[in-house]
Amino acid sequence: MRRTLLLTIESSALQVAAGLGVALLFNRNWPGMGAIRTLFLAPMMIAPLFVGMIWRLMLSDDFGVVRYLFSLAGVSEPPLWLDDPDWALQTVVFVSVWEWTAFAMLFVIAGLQAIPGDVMEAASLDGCGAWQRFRHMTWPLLRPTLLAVALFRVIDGFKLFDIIFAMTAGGPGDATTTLSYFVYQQGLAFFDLGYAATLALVMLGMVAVLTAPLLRGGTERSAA
Amino acid sequence: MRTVLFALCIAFAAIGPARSQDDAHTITVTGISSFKLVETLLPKFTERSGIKVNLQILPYPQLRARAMADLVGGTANSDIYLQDIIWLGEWAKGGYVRPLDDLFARDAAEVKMDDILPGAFNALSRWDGKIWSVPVGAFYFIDYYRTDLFAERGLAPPVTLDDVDRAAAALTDPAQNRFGIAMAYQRGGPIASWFLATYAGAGGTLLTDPPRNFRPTLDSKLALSVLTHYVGWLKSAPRGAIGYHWNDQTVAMQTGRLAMAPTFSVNGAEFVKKENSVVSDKVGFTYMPRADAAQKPVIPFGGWAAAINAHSAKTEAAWTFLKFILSPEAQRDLGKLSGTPVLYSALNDPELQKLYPWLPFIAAAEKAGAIHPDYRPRYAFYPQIEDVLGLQLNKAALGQTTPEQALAEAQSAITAIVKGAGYPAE
Repeated sequence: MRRTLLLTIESSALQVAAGLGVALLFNRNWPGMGAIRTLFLAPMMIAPLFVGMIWRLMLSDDFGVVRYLFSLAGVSEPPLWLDDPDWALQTVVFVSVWEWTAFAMLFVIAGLQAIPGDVMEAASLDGCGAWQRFRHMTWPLLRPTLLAVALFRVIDGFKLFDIIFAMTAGGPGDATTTLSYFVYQQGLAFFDLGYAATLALVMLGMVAVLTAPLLRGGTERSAA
Repeated sequence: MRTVLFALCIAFAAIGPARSQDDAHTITVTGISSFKLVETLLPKFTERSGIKVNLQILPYPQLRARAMADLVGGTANSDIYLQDIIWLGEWAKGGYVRPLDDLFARDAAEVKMDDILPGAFNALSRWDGKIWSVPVGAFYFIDYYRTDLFAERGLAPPVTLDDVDRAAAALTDPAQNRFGIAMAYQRGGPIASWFLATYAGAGGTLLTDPPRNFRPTLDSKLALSVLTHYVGWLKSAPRGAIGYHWNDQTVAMQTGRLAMAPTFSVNGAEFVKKENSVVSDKVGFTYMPRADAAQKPVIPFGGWAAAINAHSAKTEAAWTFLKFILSPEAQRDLGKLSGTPVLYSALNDPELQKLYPWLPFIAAAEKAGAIHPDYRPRYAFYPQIEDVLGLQLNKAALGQTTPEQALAEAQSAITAIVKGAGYPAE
């Protein structure tokens, strides 16, 4: 349970933060920006199972490209990303962030483009710097969008399964055995369908509890 | 408009029977990736029998999930399912697949029972005195080693677990990217299966004496000794071996990094294929290491069979396909590709023996009754055993627990699983 919460909260927060950063960077009318944005969406278009398989190969200590890149940087023995219990969950978080940051970025760019240009222009004319414009205008106007993205990412993070299935199979030890992986094992490996269905219902309740503050935040904001 | 719609309805009605007639001559066969090789034989089968085969190949977990959903649900989305050896008891007990005794008896002239490898047949297809499936791939767990490296160091092929320790240490040279041995250590099926094969090779069996007594034996001195060796081999393995799936072990051997790779013969076949392996002409083989050289050697056995869905309406067509797969001609053709035939006639084929030099060794072991079919118990509870054992063994390999603690935890969890399933464990 602790691992599931850690994975969900950490990956959702990082995805939203990274998505916001990348969206602010990409929300410009520079030449070629459309193509760059599209390329950035590519990880999201790959099935998560294949994302897991691809990263498992890239992170292989025997022939993975990641170890090769570390060796070029003078690190001959980088961590065993997927096979060290201290690193495995963080590696799953990283891969999840790699895949789903684009999703957050897409939402945030849409939110940024919905902010009226004349409001920002007026603020500039009133002498607001970039940080002040972001702090007092962009951030409050983006907040509902960010809450919506966080809601989606928390739900998805909670049921993250494919990447774990393909990369670690719940290991090493039980370092990446999350609730959704456990449900899979009970249901589809041991065929204890009653137990798996019960656990799935518990998961539903937990997701509801976890997302309630986000929903409340969004509703209060709308009412305001 | 009405006329057009009416005409379309008539057209569909006319096509309907034609399609269902066509469906009656098409069977669906769902299998694992290693069974994809059969694709090359399908045109010949269709030409001879008039039966088309819709072959569906799935990864292992998906095959298990789809088969169970279909079989337990009493539907027939597939007429034939490939059956892993460890599913035999579950499928037979549940009545999910059709017993084949009557068909074997009826077509005795066509299917030469005495040509089928007895160890493979008993292990893969016989349960509670009945035949439930047809063996399609016989996988024998043997110790593959590099003949050139052993010769260089003047080492004899290992016989005991201690011999493996010594050879592995002597042949490990990280500077040359060469390592003495690697087993599967990934949590779950990989480490559980490879450990149990090593345990069986050393003379152990996981359960005391099924069906009378299902008490696990992991509290024995032998189990502790085998696990201590197994974990100790990590010192002579590549750094990443702690996360090895069996596929990683296969690749490490193919790429010349390992001196020893105990594994199933289906993976061994990949070591000797020139197009896939840099060590194709340097591969030797022997029995799995024993605890004591005086022990009788055994070969842990795994593999796949094909079973007919009990709810299939196309039993005859499905049986025709199974007979074809079991024919000497098909076994020879498949054996050339996979190295895992299930007939003596194919094992003794000179062309196959040239490709896979261990086939005479297998044939002799079959004749001598040295096959160990139950190194992984073929009962419905095995997936749960594999999970708890795989977790505890992996923890021991990671150094999170000692081998003693890991085995004690596994012993207690497996006893609970077995008792929970209603079997005696005293």
